[in-house]
Amino acid sequence: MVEDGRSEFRRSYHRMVARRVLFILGCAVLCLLVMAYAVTLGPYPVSMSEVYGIIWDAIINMPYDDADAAHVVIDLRLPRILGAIVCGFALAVCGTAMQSLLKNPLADPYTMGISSGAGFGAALAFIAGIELVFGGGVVLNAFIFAMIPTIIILFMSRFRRATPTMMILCGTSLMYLFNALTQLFMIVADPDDLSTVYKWMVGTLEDIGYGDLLIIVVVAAAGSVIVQVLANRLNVMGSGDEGAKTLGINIDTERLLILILITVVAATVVSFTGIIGFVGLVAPHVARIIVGSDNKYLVPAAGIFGALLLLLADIASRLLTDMILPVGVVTACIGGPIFMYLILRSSKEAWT
Amino acid sequence: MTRLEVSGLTFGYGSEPLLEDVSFTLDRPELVCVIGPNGVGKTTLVKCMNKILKPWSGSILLDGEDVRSMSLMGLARRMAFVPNRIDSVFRTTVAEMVLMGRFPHSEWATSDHDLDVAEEALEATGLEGLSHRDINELSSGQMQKVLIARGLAQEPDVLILDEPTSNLDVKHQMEVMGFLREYAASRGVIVLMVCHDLNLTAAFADRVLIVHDKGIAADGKVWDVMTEENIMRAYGVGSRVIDADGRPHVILLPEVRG
Repeated sequence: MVEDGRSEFRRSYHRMVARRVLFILGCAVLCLLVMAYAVTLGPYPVSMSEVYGIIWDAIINMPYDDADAAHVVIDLRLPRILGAIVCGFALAVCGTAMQSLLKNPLADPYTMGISSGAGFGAALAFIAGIELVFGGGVVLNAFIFAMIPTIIILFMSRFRRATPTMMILCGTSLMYLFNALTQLFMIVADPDDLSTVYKWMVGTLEDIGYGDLLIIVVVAAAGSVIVQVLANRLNVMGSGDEGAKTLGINIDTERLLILILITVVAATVVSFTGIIGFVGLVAPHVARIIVGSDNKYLVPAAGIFGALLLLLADIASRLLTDMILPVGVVTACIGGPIFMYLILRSSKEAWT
Repeated sequence: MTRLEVSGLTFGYGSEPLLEDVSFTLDRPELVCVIGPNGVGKTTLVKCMNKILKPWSGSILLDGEDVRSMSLMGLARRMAFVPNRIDSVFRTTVAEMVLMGRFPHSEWATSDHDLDVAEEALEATGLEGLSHRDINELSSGQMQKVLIARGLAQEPDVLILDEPTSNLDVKHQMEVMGFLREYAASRGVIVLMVCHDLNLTAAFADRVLIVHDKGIAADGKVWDVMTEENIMRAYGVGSRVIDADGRPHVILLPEVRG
């Protein structure tokens, strides 16, 4: 009888794993379908068969029948759609890892000051014309300033033990500081620069090109794979510092190392897109309500949900209006209500 | 048999040492209880042994190897720690928490062997029906059992527990203490626990250490250590120790003061 009971536990565990994997695959398929539909959407009329003809021609390197339509699909629509998926995925993975790492449900690239740092770096380039790296422009400025909160945390950890609370307070206070400095710059900026900075501050996928996309994809893929490999480690780290130590994790050092890794990924994304808030915070929580807190399943689930959220937000921002509606605004507008609905609806407390 | 040797251990949080030149050896598979008044350094002592805290001086040898030179992962495969409580921010199921105990043995994948070990730990602590419950919904006593199960799933040679019975009712206290004593003997594991309950210690411990005045004030079998003089010296309270079915039983006497 004991043997039977044992296999029952094993069976129920495998059943649960299967359910989670199925959910993740389902979301991935949904994401692909939305993506396939999204390329056919837009103010310029291109039929669905034409769109896929164009993409197929691009893949096999054939000349286009209709150059205008090809321009719209290949240069305008596809980069945004791919950008939305990759950036949404990467930001959500970063948020998930940060929340486990810092044992804080509010941790994400925004509250850790990464996004605000990038915003300030960009403002510096747009308004004052200051480039930290000659020829590096907005992107490198943004990247360097996005890394600053983590660098300061690293520096502080040399003098005292870097606890999760210290890290998140440090990140949040730098977020306020960077935001204030950016506001200060915006007061003195001339109107043209101001609208560029403003657009950047709320995040946009409009300006992403294939070159940018390649960099983001490489960094995001590498980062996501590493986070996935570390998933069990993150689980243990989330269960308390002393427990983690006695389960074999050198918690203080490893927390800093993983934080650096996540910061590089998040900083790369926001350097190209500007500040897209909310995906990194909301996607992990939504995924957590559905697949639970085991990072082995949570990381991919949150990533795919983040990709889907940003993709839908971008579709909305392309279709709803003729004026420029930055995707960051839409993410918050869609994500906020979804989030609140899920908080109210979930009978169990997902976080306490 | 595993041998754990603490010698010349000195540690303090400020400039004054809390523990000074503490030495003792554990080399038998038995239940060892560490008792002593509040703030005397019982928990500190055990946390110095598993590298949570770094001793000022002295050494802890596990089978002759200094734990300082062992990796945390290497130590975690041999020595488990059951904290008194943990704060879990996110929803974690009992099964997930117990499976974390397998982390030092199989870092990424969860094998069928891991599941078997985890299930055995759940059965040993009477948690089998709760395996898919969120730990944040459990009572503090059930939570303590989950942490014990996680320690068991680690399959250690040395199991260290920090007041594992503090939130349990009397029935479950007795069950857990009886289980730990039996587990030590049957698995050949050294079980070292910090305990606050004198009578629970007296009823179940194979060996008792009293921590008092920066060091070990008494060390030995229950009848030798749980005496009226030792209790007066360590706690400053009067007591009478009687024989209850062959085990000492401490009756505290409020009017007698040291």
